[in-house]
Amino acid sequence: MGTISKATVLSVKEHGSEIREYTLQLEKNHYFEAGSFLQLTLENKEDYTRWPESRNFSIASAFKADGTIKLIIRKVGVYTSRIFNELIVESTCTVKYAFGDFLLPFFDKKAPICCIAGGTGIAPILSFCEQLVRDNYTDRLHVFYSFKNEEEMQGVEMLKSIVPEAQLHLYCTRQEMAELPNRRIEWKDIHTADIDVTDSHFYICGGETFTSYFAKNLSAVGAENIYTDEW
Amino acid sequence: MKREEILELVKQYHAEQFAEKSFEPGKSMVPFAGRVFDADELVTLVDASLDFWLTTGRYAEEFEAKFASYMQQKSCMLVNSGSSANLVALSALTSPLLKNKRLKRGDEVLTVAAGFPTTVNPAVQHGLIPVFVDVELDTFNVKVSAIENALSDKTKAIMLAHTLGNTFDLNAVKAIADKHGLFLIEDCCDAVGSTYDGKMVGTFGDMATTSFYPAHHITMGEGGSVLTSNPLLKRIATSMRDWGRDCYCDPGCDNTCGRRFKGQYGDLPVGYDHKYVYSHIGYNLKVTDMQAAVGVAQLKKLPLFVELRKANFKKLYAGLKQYEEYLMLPESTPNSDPSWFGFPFNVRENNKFTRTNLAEFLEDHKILTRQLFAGNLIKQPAYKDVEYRVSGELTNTDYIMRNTIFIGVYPGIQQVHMDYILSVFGKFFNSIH
Repeated sequence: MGTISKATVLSVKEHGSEIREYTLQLEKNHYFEAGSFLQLTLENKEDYTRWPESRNFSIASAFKADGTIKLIIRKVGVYTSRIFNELIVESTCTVKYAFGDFLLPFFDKKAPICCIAGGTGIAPILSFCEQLVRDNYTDRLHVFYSFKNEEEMQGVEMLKSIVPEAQLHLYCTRQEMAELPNRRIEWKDIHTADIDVTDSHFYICGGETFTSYFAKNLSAVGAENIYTDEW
Repeated sequence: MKREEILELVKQYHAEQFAEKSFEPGKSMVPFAGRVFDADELVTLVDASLDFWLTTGRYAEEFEAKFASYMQQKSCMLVNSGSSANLVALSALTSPLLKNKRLKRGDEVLTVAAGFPTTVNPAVQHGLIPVFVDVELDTFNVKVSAIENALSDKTKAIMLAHTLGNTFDLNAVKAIADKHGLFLIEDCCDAVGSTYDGKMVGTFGDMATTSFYPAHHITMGEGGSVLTSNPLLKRIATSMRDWGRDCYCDPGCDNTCGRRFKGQYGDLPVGYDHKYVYSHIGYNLKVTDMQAAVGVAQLKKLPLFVELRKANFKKLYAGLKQYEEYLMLPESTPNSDPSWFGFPFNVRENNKFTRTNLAEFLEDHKILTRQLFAGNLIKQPAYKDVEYRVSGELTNTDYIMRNTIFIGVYPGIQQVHMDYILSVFGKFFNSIH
C-alpha cells in the first residue's frame, strides 16, 4: 500500500513564473518504480485517517537511497497556487506514494522505449532516464519532447547526456531556438523516425489532447505497447 | 483517558496474564510450533484497535515496507494467509496483462506431492494441471534431476515450497525455469529467513509467498504475504487480492489516479466509475490493521527467532545423530542456510518399530509431532478426481508419506525443553533394545 511520509523542501528551482522544480526530502523512504506518481497535500498529516485534499504529481526522479525526490509542478489552479505560496525551502508537506501504471517494461529488456512528452509531461520521462542509466539500457531510449520556451524546458542537459543524439528530438513551440523546430511534435515526426512501431514501447505524457492524438495514431499503425499519462 | 495510559495498562495486563510458566517434564507440552510474543504485540494490537481504522492502515504500511526490505524484495502485499498468498501468486500468472506469457486452462505447473496442499491447490482451482515429480529423502525437496523429463510444451510455471525451511536447489531450478521460459513461484511459507547463496529465499523466483499463521516464523494470527520485485506482477497480485479491481486506491481513498470518471474500460460506457471496474476475476483476501500491528512487533524479533530456530535445529541434529541406524536425519541443501520450520526425519523401515510407534511415544511424553503435511497429495481423498500428471515414480514421496515426522525447533523451545526431548528419545531407543 501507499507510504505516507512527511516531506521537507530542500530546494526550489524556478522555470519561468509558472513552473517549479522541487527537491524534497522524504522522511520515510520506500522503494518506488520510475514513472510513479505521488499525492501531495499541504497538510502535515500524521494520523491514518481520510486523506485530505491533495494533488497528484509524477515523480521526476528515480528511487534514491538518500530519500530525495524531484517534482515538476505547474501552477494551474487554486491548489497549485497555494503550493507555490506555501512550499518554500525548509517547509514541509505530506506525500503519499507511489502509484501508477506508467512504468517501464517489465519482461522485455530489448525493444526500444519511445517517450513522447509535452511540457511538464517530461517529469516521469526524467525518472525513466535515471533508471535506464542505472540499468545500462539508455541505447533503447528515444525521446520526443516539446516545451514552450527556453525557460520552461526541463532536464534537457540530462537528456542530451544520456539519450543517443539521433534519438533525441526537441521542439520549442513559442520561441525560436537554435537548431530546434519551432513547432509542436507532430505524428509524422514519430512515424518517420527509425522505430519499429509494433515492437516498441510508447510512453506518452502530456495534456489529454496531446496523449490521445499520439495514442490514436500509434494504435492505427499497429503499435501494441502504448502507455499514457495525462495531466 | 489517554492512549498512553491504556497502553501502559496493556503492558501490565500482559505481565499478569502471560507470565512464563515453569516447564514440568512429562507434564508440560512441548509443541512443534507456537506463538512467541511479549507485551509489544499486545500493545501494538490495542494501539491499532484504538485507531479504529480497521482495514489496512499505518501498521500495514509499515509492515509491508519493512518485511519487503527484510526479504530483499521491492514490494510486499499483505494477505490473510499463506494459502491466500499462494492463491494470489498463482492467480496473478493467469492475468491477461501478461499477454502471451499468461497461464491458461490446461497449462501445466510443475510441483511436488510431498507437501502442503495449498501450494498445489491454486493450480487445480485455475484449471491448470499439476505435474508431480519426486523429492529427495534427505532434503525433502524436489529431485532436480527429475524436472527436465517432466516438462512438456504445456509447462508454463514451477511452483515449489522450501520444505520446512530447507531451500530447494534454487540455482538448478532457476536455471531450468530460465532455460524454458517458465515462471517460478517460491512458496516460502515455512522458510522465512532461509538463505541460498547468501540471498533470501523468494528473491530467485518471479514471486514468493509467506505465512504468518501462529505456527510460522512470525505471526499475526491469520496472515501471509506475496512478495515480488516485478512491478507488473505486484499490480496484478494487488488486483487479485482486492476483488480483481482495476483501481489502485488504498482503503479509505478515492480517485488516487485522478481518472475516476474519465476512462473507458471493456464494454462499459465512457466515464464508468473506475472504482468499480474489474480487470481480473479476483478475491478479497486483505488483512486488518490489527493483524499487521501484531506483525510489526513480531518483525522486530524475527532475526532473533531465525537464529534460535537454527540453533535448536543444530542441537537436535547433534543429539539424534547417535540414532542414525534408525533415523534418517535431514540435510540442508548445499549452499543454503535454512531457517528451519521444524526438525524432520525419516524413520528407516525396520523390524523393531514404526514411525507411528515413535510418534505415539513422543506424544505420550507430551512432545508434539507432525507428519510432512499431506504426505503424498495424490493419495489424499481431495485429489481423487483431480486432473494431474505424475512424471516418473514418486517412490521417495511415498516413503516420506509412510515414514517422516517432524518435531519443533521454534523459539519457544529452550534448553530445558531440548534436554527433555533428547532424554525421551533416549528412553525410546533404550526400550527397543
